[in-house]
Amino acid sequence: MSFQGVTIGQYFPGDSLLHRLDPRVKITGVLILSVAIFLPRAWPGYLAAILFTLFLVALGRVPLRLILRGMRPILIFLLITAAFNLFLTPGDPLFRLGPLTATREGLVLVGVTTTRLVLLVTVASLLTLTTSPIRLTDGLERMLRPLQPIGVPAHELALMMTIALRFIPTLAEEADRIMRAQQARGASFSTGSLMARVRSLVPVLVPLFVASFRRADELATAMEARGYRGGDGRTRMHELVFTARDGAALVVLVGFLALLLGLRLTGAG
Amino acid sequence: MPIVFEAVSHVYQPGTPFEWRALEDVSVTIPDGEFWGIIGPTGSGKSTLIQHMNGLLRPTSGRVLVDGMDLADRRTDLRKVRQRVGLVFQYPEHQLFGETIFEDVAFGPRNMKLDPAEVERRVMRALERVGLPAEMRDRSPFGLSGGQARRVALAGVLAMEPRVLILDEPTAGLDPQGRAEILDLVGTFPALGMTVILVSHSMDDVAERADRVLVMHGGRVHMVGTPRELFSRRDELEAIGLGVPAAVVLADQLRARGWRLPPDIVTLDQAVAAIKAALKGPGKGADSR
Repeated sequence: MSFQGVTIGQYFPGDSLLHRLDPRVKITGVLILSVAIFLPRAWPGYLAAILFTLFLVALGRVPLRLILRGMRPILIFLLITAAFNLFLTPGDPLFRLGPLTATREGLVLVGVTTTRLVLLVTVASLLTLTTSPIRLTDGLERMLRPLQPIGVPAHELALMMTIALRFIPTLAEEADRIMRAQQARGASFSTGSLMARVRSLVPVLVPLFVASFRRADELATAMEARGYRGGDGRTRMHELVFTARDGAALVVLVGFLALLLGLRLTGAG
Repeated sequence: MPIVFEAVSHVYQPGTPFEWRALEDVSVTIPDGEFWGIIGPTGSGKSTLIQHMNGLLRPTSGRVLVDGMDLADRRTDLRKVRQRVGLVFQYPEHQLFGETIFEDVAFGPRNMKLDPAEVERRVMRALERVGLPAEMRDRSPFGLSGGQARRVALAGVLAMEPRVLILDEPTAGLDPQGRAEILDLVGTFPALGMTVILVSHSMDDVAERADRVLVMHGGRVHMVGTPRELFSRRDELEAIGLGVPAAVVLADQLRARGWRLPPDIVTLDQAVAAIKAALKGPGKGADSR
C-alpha cells in the first residue's frame, strides 16, 4: 500500500497555441462550448460540433490517449444511460432482447447523448490538460474578482486551491514515510479483519494530522515573513495579459456558438 | 547476526520516465556488535540502503541476508526481521501518535504480541536507557521539547530490543548539546551487544565513535574502512563533497609545516594531546618556531 504516484489534475506540459492562451479565455471557452454542444437538433449541427472539438484537440497537441483516459470515469454512466435510452424509448421496434424492445428512436437518442457527453468531457479535459493548476487558479481568481463586492472571496478561494494542490504530493510523501516508520515497529496494514485494518491506520493518521497542522503553521509564518497580507494591493510576477490572440480565440468561440445557434434557428441543424 | 548485501541494486519506478537507480551493485558485510557509520552526500543512496536492512524495500536485483534469512524471499517473516533490526527514521518524533508516552513506546512490543508484563518491563527499560524519568510515562508525547520527543521515539524502537539499531540522521535539527547527548547515548549501545548503524552526511558525527565507515556515492559503495583509513584519503572525500573532521585538517596542516604529530589524530581531544606533547617534547616541536 502506497500513496506514491498520487496526482491531481492532469496537466500535460506543452507549448501549443491552446497552452499559451489566457486561462480566462479557456475557462470562458469551456462555458461557451458547454452551451453550444447542447444546441444541435440535426446532423449538420452535430457534425460541426464534433469537427470543432477535434480541431481543438489537434490545436492542443495533446495525445488522444490522455483524453480517452478522462472518459474512463464516465464510461459506466454512459453505458447505463445508453441501455436505458435504447430500450425504454417508445417508437419503432428494432430488435428484441428478452422482454425488452430496442427502438429506432432509442438508438438515435443513444447516439445523441453519447456524443454530447463525450464532447463535453473532451472539452473539459482539454482545459485541465493544457492549463497548469497555477494558471487555472490565477484565471479563476481574476474572473471572480468582479464578484468581490457582493462578498465572493476571490483571492482566498484561489489561494486555498493553490495551497491544496501544492500540498497533495507533500502529504502523500509524508504518509508514505510514516507508514514505513510504523511498519519498522511491527505495524501491518494489510492483514487482519477490516476493523483491525482500520485501527491500524490510527498510528498513521494521528502523526499525519499533526504534521498537516505543523506545515500549515510553518506556511503561515513563512507567508507573513514575506509580507503577505491578503490579496489587496498584491502585485504579481506573472500578470495575465489579454493579447490579440486571446481576443481572436474569443471571437472564434463566439462565432462557433453563433453558427450552431443559426443552424438551430433555421432548422438546418 | 551479520547483515550481508550481495550485489544489491535498487531501481525506483522502473520503466517510467521517473526511473531512478538508487543503488548499484552494493556488496558489503556488517558484522555483529560493531558501530558503523554510513555517510554520503544527499541522494547517494544512504536511506535506500538502510531500508533494505529490515525489508521495507526489496532489492531489484541481488540479495540481502540478515541472520542468514533472505529478505527477498517471500517466505521470510518480515515481522521477525523487523524485531531484530530496529530502524529509527529521520525526525522520528514526527511519527509519535500515542496518547501517553507509555502507549507510544509500547506500540512496537505490543505488535510483537508480548504479554502485558513484558511490554511494561521493556517500555520502562527503554525509557530509562534514553534517560527519561519513569514519572513521565503518563504524559502526552506532544507537549515535549524536540530533544525529549526524539528520545521517546528512540525508546519506541529500543523497546523492541532489537539486536541491530539503525539510525537515520538522528541528530538532524538538534543543537550542539542535543547532538552530543544523542551521539553519546547511541555510542553506549555496542557495549550492550547491539550492532549500531548510524547514517549521517557529517563526518564529524561518526568519526569519533564508529568502528568502520561506509561512504556512499552515486548509489555505490565508494569506500569502506576505519575512520583513520578514510581520512588519509582526504582528497577523495573532498572530491565528492564530504569534509573530514576539523581536528584531522588541523593535524594535516601542522604536519605540512613540519610538526611531527602521530598519524592517528581523529578527534579534537587527540589533537590537543598531540599538540601539547609536541610543544613539550625537546626536539619534537615545530622546526619553524
